[in-house]
Amino acid sequence: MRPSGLRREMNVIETRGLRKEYRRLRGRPVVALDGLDLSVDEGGVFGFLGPNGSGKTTTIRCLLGLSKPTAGTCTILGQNPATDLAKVIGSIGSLVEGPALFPNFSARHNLDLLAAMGRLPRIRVDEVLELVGLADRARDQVRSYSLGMRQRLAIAAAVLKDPKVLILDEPANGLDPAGIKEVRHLLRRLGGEGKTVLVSSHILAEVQHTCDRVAILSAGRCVVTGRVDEVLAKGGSRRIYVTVDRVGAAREALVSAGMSCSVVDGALLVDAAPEAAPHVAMLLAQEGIYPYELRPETIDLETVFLELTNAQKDAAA
Amino acid sequence: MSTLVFVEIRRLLGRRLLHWLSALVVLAWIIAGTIAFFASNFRYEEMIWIAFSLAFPLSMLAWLVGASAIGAEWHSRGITTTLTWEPRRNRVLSAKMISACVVAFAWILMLQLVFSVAMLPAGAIRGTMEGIDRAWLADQAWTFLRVGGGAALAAGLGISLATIGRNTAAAFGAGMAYLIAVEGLIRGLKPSWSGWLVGDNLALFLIGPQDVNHLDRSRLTAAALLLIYGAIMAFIALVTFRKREIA
Repeated sequence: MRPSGLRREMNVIETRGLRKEYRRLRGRPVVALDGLDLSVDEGGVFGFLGPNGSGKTTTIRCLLGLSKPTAGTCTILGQNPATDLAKVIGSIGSLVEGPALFPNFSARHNLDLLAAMGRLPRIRVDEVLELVGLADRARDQVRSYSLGMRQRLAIAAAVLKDPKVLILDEPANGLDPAGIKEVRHLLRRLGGEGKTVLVSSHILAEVQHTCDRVAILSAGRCVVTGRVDEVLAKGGSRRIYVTVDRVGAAREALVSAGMSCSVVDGALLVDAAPEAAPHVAMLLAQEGIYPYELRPETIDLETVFLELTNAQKDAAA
Repeated sequence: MSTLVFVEIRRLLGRRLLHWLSALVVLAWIIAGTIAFFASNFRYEEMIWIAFSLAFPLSMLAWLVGASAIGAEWHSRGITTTLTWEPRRNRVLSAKMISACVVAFAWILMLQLVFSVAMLPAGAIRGTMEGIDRAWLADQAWTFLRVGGGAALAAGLGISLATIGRNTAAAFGAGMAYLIAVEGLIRGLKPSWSGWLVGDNLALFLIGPQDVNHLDRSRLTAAALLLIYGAIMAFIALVTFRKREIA
């Protein structure tokens, strides 16, 4: 499903040279965003990653019209959030920096007020309460909720409008493993329905499982963006993981053949591209050593994230 | 806009502060009625003067309710959620101001009516209802409406200050400090400036020029000046709110 009025070639979210400085009473301004270029096309789940202070929440605030950029442009559903957000706000659901609801009101009262503001039918409140598993506690005051329950309620508020674009800032915060799994399924489902979900998170394994595409931010800039497999391919050193019986002999055989390798947790890590795996197998077989396992080392998003963000820090230093 | 105002009125009416203050005030009225019943020969006709003396504390309550209407939102970050549903900040703040004024007016009117009822046994059974006629009732109703109007203005000033200061306590403290300390000092040091003071104009508006005759102006002029002050504060609050970064 394509949002009405959105041309096929248009990105749902786009920032160009987005810069945000926070002025201070003393000293130089703090640069939260330093010329961020970002494009999020329609449909699927987009992971927005970066260390603390990298500018994720500031970007989200700019996209939602809560902060004004110092320079550059950003658009959401083709509109400038600073001036025309009202035209598309009915199609945007969001959760910014954790739950922000009235603690002395019940979950239902909070959602009823939002539904009234958006002129949504009350039945929709029941649906989202059921969706996030809060239907049984809907009449309790939010102040009596655990952090995880508040987070679920905030997610319920974000999806209440049945939005075309969903922006979630750290949605898994405070959730237990079952809750995280539920949120993952919800995001996958929404992304699969053609909605665009932008999710910022620190739980990188979760992002790797949930997202189709990611962008990694560091110091207010986007250091890499693309499909998860493309990003994984860009990071990490290329090594081959080998499990054998005689680790010492295997290492000797490979080193004497001019290869560099190390022993980690009883396995060998050979510094070579995955294409060199047959050659490694041959060298070991020549010595009568037959591996149980021989595969390219698995690079996870965390490794790529740390490598890229550390590289960016080093470059900045 | 009407939807927003309606939502804000619902939000305000659901606030615990309003419920607690209502309960406390009604309890105070019942105690006052009981004391009047047993300890005096209460002349119900004097209710009108009691209404005047209650105008200031009731306006302060309205100020507090108005200030907390947005102060609580800053505190709970509910304002962030509100703005992700209605990003037009002028509309959001205008709706909040209108709803705070409407609720304060109706609430204070209701509290005065409850007070009238609470004092009724003291006048009807133990004291006297002498002088209570159609003209007195009309005068009393007009007084209640004026006190309600003063409360609505106080709520508007409260919400404006709390928008600027992003805090209920700061807005309430600033209001009290201004009315008691600053205006008190000006009144003492520069009596000729008292025509510009909120307190004096509010007193004239509520009580009337025949009893507050040092200002030499009509009730309408005093009301207009108070409205101008309210509009200036609301404008400053709107400009501040539009420019503010929302965390």
